[in-house]
Amino acid sequence: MPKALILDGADHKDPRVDYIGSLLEEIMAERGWVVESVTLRRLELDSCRGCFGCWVKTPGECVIKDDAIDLLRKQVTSDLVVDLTEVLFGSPSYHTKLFMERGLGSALPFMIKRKGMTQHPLRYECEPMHLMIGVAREIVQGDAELFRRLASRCCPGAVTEVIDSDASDDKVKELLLVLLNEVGVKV
Amino acid sequence: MSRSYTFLIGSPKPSGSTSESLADHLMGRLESEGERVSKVSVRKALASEEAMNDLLDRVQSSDVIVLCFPLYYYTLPAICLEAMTLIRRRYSEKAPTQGLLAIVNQGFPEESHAEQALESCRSFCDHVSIGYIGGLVMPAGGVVNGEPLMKVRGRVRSQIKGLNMAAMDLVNGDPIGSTAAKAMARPPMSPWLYRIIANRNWKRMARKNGTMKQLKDRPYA
Ligand SMILES: Cc1cc2nc3c(=O)[nH]c(=O)nc-3n(C[C@H](O)[C@H](O)[C@H](O)COP(=O)(O)O)c2cc1C
Repeated sequence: MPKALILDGADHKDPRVDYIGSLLEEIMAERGWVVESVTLRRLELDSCRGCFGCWVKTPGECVIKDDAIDLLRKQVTSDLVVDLTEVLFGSPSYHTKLFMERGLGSALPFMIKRKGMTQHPLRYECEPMHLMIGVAREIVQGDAELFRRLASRCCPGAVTEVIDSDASDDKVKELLLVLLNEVGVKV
Repeated sequence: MSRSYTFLIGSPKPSGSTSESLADHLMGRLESEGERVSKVSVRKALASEEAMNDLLDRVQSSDVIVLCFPLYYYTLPAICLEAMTLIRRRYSEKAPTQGLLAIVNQGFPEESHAEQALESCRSFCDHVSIGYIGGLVMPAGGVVNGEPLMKVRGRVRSQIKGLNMAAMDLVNGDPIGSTAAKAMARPPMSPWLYRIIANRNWKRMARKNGTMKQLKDRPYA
């Protein structure tokens, strides 16, 4: 059965993020997916130290031994990863970003040129499908647009969207179905 | 009258960051012009409430915040986003600081990787109603590697020039000019040469760690 990992990266308990998370769980489970939801702020997650140990000391594995290790493993072996995050100045929330940084080892250290820009090749041939959903209270248009551009640069191939916290339940469900379809989940 | 500057060092590295080297150089220039400068590590500030309060107090009492950080996934490191959130919470009314200058350094040699990071800094300024004085981007920041700029010298000649010009803009109360930004953004060497040297360096480090054969391992597959 396909596996989905839902990461709640909100920095504080947010009823709207909770609702979107449970709705996603329900939709995916109905379609035969095994879903695991993780609330990042409840884990022991230290900040990346910028040491590049995950490239040259223990290739592919972060040298900080905390809850990120197990989660990084789960992320790599999932078919779909969903990030639920607040939108902070157009960037993802602290906890979403903290965990993202700990995953540097999923790229290789080498620098290559692709489409005129320097990049790192990916370590794993097959990356999970990725959905990145920003949840914003008063959506500042510039921030939402920046979030979408940033998310698609950070996770190439990811489907990204910003959902208004005040959107009705029906509208949220409709949007989630569209997003899942777009990311490649048959709904 | 002289102005006060708080430099926020946003690198998650415990020590020896390029962010701090760039900050130290600019701080030195500003001090020699009679300006008042101080420096706080964001990482250390996040470790205790007392240290964070000190950071917030300093931000409150300074005329200019200079946020120096490495690019992490096309934007600011998580620790900087957290500090910015706390600053916003403390100053939900208009922040008393006059302006913010962002100094980004990044691993890749093309300046455009940092566009979104600077936009996020600008958005932060809008949210807390402080002026955005400008953004400086140093590509290929690895060539500094925590050394004083005057020691690295040749390769970072353009960055030294850019920071010196930025210091004069700040002293004169002007926004950061495009000449300073251009000098800062000049890659220390051509991108293709940088890639060759960087790739050799990774291999050298792997050899030192005895991991050359494991470099492409997939431990979670
Ligand atoms: C988790 C992580 C993510 C990074 N993301 C980027 C990036 O998106 N683009 C880039 O050019 N460099 C990136 N880098 C490289 C750093 O920006 C670069 O090494 C920088 O010089 C470090 O500065 P510091 O010494 O001030 O910490 C990343 C490094 C780490 C550890």
